Amino acid sequence: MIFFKIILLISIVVASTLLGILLSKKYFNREKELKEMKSALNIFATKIKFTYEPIPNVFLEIANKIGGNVGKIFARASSRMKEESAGEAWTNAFSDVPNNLSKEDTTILSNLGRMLGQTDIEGQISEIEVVVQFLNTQLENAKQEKIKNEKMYRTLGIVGGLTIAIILI
Amino acid sequence: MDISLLFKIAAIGILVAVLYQVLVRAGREDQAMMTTLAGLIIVLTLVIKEISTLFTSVRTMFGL
Amino acid sequence: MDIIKIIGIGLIALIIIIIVKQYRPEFTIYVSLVAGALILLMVMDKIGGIIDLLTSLSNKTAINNEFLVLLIKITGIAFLTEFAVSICKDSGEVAIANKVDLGGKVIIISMSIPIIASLLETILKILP
Repeated sequence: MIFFKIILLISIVVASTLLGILLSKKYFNREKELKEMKSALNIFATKIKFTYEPIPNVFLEIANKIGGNVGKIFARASSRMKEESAGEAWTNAFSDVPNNLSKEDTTILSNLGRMLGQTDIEGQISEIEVVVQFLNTQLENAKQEKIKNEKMYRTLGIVGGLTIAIILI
Repeated sequence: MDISLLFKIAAIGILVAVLYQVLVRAGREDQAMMTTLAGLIIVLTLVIKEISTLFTSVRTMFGL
Repeated sequence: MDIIKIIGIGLIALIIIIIVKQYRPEFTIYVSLVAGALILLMVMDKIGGIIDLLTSLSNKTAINNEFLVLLIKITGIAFLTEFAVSICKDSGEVAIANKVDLGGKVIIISMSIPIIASLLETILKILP
């Protein structure tokens, strides 16, 4: 009986520690995905400036170059473009692929979809630059939030688990 | 009903203090406040049991 | 050796209070409450033996048994009052401690009224 109890208490501590690490990972991943998204958009801008490939092909190339969730978003958008317009495919790809970006990030990024394939090359490039600028400020925010929250969630998980275990002894 | 209750209260007190510090450092004062309150209430429930045992035993002993 | 146990509980509670006071002063009162309750509970067993002895003695003599029961009750009330009063004083609430003290005293006097009354009757009987 006591053996059973000890195992239960240890599993509570381990579970809450893992929960804390999981929550802190979210901030780490958000920063990583924002960085990836930035470089992906840069690649996209260069591609449409110098090559005249259709957007689905460009997206697929980007998806191959950049892995992770951002790559999946591009791949998804590219495959959706077979049936939908470019803008819709881009917007829907965000809700299809689970990612760690905040709501604000997603809104601004999916706004980019409205001009995809609508304006000329110059307009698209300038629009992408605006979004990249925005991503830079978001990246700063994400860094600060990461410093603040990552450690907090980790400590919170461990200490919270210990507290629950001690109460239940 | 033994000395381990004392250690338990001490441990909860210290852990709540750590939680408070971490939450305040992260700028979540109101949640830190709530954590302290929760800790206090939990310890109070632990203590009340002990006090009630004491009172009932005194009552039976002295026939009050 | 029960006294060793009691001293141990007291000292451990003291150390815990000193440690916890730096971080969360609110928790110290609980530690002292539990320590007090634990020590009193330990003492309670011994008190049971003493009370048994007293009642068996009074059964052998001709003293009215009612009075002894009353006396034991008064001791119990004093016991509990003292417990509450010392905790109130520890947390710096002297006003409440005084009120609890007063309440204990009043209740003790009201319980001892039969004894006082019988005493007065005895005196009146002796007086011509």
